Amino acid sequence: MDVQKALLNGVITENPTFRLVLGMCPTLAVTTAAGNGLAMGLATTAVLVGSNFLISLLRNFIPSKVRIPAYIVVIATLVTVVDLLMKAYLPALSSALGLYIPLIVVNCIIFARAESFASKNPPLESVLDGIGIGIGFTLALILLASVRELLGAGSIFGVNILGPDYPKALIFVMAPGGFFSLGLLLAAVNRFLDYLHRRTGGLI
Amino acid sequence: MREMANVTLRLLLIMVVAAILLGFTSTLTNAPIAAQEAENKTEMRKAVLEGAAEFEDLNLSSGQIQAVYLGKGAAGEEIGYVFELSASGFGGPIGMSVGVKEGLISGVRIASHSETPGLGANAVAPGFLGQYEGKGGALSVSKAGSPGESEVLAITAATITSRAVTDGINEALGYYEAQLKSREGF
Repeated sequence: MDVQKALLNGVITENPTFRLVLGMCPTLAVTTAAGNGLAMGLATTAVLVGSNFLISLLRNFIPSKVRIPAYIVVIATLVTVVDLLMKAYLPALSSALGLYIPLIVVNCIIFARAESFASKNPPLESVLDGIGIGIGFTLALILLASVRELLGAGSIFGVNILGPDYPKALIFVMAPGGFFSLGLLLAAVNRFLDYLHRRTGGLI
Repeated sequence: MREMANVTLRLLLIMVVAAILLGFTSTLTNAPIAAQEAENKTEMRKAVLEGAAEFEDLNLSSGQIQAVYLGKGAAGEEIGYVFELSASGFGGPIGMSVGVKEGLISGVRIASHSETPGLGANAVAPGFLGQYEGKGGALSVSKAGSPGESEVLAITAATITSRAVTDGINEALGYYEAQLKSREGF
């Protein structure tokens, strides 16, 4: 598996949000502003790379009958250790991303990749897969969060786009708007990807 | 039976290694994290009471007020007070620091909250908190138009959060008037 393939897989073929529809809970919760989406995406990517690497290293040691509890312990330990180290030695990074770390510990995207990829592939490939899926998740979160922030607050990444007179549709930054936006984006993105699939002759 | 023992042992081994790693990291990071938190609190007190370099805990509490600090300048002169409050917001307690200098608000910062993202959570923005600076007396929340002298403009669609912050500030100001004003020669 090369880098390009891993990226293509994570961003398009197995995009965790739009294709696998995994990790919906944090997805809906944090996508109220584009900045939050970016931070959550980056934090998840970091954890995903670490957990894929560890699970891949341990893949021949972990007995398949108890793999789920083993994954939970390994991943939760990794995240907690990183969280504590970040709090102690990188307080600035911790205050930007720390809020998202507890949301990630038992995120199903992490487990899905451990189960379906890292447990069957060598470490290097697993790390690449983590990067690809992480970038796909980050892009999906930024897209969803940008739509919600634009409609709900008239801005993207805190930069006002629609002008001061835009009547803010506040429902879009609240929970119901999360569902509206997610549903419509899922439909639109999948329609677009189908089109792309046909145009490229099944290449993407 | 043998397989059962094998599986159990391996899982046990993973758990033991995880526990050792966690214990080790926790011991290693305990002191730096505590120092970091203490520094953050001092930074926040300095932010709400400009010019103060040291803070003396007066060991006072009342209602929403959880702690009161006497802020002193570099030469030891008394500058004002910092109140640490826990106001009841829409989603839970709002932890905030309020600086009071000669009966007027010198600064407000929110340390922790669980308000609705995109709505009440906007209370942490300087645009909202900055409104309190320089104000004193009993403050109230105005929903629209231009706020009067003792009024602040509420965050759009987050009146409960705006009121909670204002209530907390009023309590700090009231406590200052009732208990602290006579204490010092301000």
